[in-house]
Amino acid sequence: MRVDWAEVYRTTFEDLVRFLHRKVWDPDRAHDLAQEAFVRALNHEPDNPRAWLFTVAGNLARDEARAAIRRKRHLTLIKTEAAEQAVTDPAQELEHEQRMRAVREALARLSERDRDALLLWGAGLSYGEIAAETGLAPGAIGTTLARARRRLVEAYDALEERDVVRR
Amino acid sequence: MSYGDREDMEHIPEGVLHAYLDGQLAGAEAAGAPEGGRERQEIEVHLAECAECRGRLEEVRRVRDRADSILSASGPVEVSPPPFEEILARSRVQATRRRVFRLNRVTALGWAATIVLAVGVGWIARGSLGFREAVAPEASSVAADTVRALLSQAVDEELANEVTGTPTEDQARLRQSELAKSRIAAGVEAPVAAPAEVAAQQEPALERKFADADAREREEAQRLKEVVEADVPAPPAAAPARQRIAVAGERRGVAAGRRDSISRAREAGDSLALREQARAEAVAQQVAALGAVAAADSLAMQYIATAEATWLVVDQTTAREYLDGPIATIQGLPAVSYAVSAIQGRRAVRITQRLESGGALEVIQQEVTARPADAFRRRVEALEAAPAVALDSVASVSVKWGDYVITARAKLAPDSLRALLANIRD
Repeated sequence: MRVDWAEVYRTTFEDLVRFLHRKVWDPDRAHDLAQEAFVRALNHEPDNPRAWLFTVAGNLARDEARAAIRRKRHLTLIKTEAAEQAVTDPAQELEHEQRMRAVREALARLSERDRDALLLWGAGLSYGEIAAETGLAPGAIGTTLARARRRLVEAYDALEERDVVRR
Repeated sequence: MSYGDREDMEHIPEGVLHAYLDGQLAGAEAAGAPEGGRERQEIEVHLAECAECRGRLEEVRRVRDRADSILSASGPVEVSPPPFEEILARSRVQATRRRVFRLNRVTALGWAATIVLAVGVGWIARGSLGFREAVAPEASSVAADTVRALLSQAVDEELANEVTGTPTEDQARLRQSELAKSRIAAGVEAPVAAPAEVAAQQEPALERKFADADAREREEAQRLKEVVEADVPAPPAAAPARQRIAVAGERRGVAAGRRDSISRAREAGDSLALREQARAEAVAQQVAALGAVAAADSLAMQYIATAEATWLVVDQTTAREYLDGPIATIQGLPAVSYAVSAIQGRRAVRITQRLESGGALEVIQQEVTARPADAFRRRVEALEAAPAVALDSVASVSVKWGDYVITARAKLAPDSLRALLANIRD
């Protein structure tokens, strides 16, 4: 049975972009990588197209990070954002950026496995699909998400508090 | 599994509470599956009876909702998917580009491995020519390390570009890259063996030595031809890579391509090498006695620049790193290839550029003063087979340029070469 990639594209593209954005933290790169994932998908006939796409997207994001390190380009977005804060304009944009930064930092405090499970769930994959991609047992996904969510909330709250104190 | 049947039964584990709220209890995916339904029922029965678990469920609900809102706050604001046709178009462009890229890259790797092995062969030949002093291997091994790292990196980048997401495919590619890398490493190791041979040699007649080297060269050439050609066929489409390497290959007269180019170059090399080798040795030793070269256009300096040294073909970045200084090129002419060498203990870079007429222009750049690390040695960097183009019709003009001497060689009148050299830039 041929995979109708056009249809999968319609239903999955947005989720894929959001998923990638939380890995590369650059909306344009996320958009580009999502497209790239679909381009690579065209030649394949996976049993589960959605899950397969997220695997490819995850690989692309990871390889991009590696290549960037190799070229000695460090994504010190956190630092540069802090520097830009001094000259930033409207309060809304500032708040959104701050929030993004906080989420990013909070996510960074999770283990890679916890973070991946959380992002994949956020992208709409089922427990079974998450298990297939992360290599965890399906019965362990609930526990993993429980831990990931708890830690994310704790980390985020701690960061917000720190930011408030700073201000 | 049932909860709370007896007083000492466990309450619902946290993970299960999350799965319950996520609608992902085991078997829930299969519509109407008795297992999922049963577990859900049991949970709800327990919840009805257990206040503690009810409280914990609310707590889990709160954490779950908060995590959701945190994550959704981080997304990009607008995600409007472009039409699917863009994906199709992009796929078509990439397919073409990847075919060409892969041909060039894999072929270039194959050729590069050939060159590296050819350098090894060159060492053996050189050793057999009976020079009075052992050839310094250090310069070549420095370059060899660079080339090895360069080739390994190229293999890595090729691998990274081919992500498909299927574990078996990735594994196969990983294996392929490991194979390629080990082959590269094996090839680069070849030169190290040569100096031992040199040391073991006495000083028999030049002609006999050359004949021995000739036979060994042929063996080596045949062997590495099989190694390279077995895995890396040279398709006609890979013209640019092959042309680039062939420029250097023909000059060396060792295996850089097909059988006929090898024998052609070797014939030219046979007659010229013997004559030139003695001359080069004498002149080089004179210059060595002088110490650092003073006048840029002295005959000796010109001659050393034109003596056939061991040139290792590299890319621009490697050449730049090797020289650790500005590289001189004639402005306006495309650079076809880069090569590095060490002449008399001084680093040299050779850039081959293409003249408007289509002919080749060589720009050889040598340091004027030897670096402390290289230690000025009275050694002759070997003569290898001369180019297929007869040495006489190639004119050569040298100029001083900062800390370097630049020598331009081409089939042009010296005045034309001087005019070209007026357009040097880094």
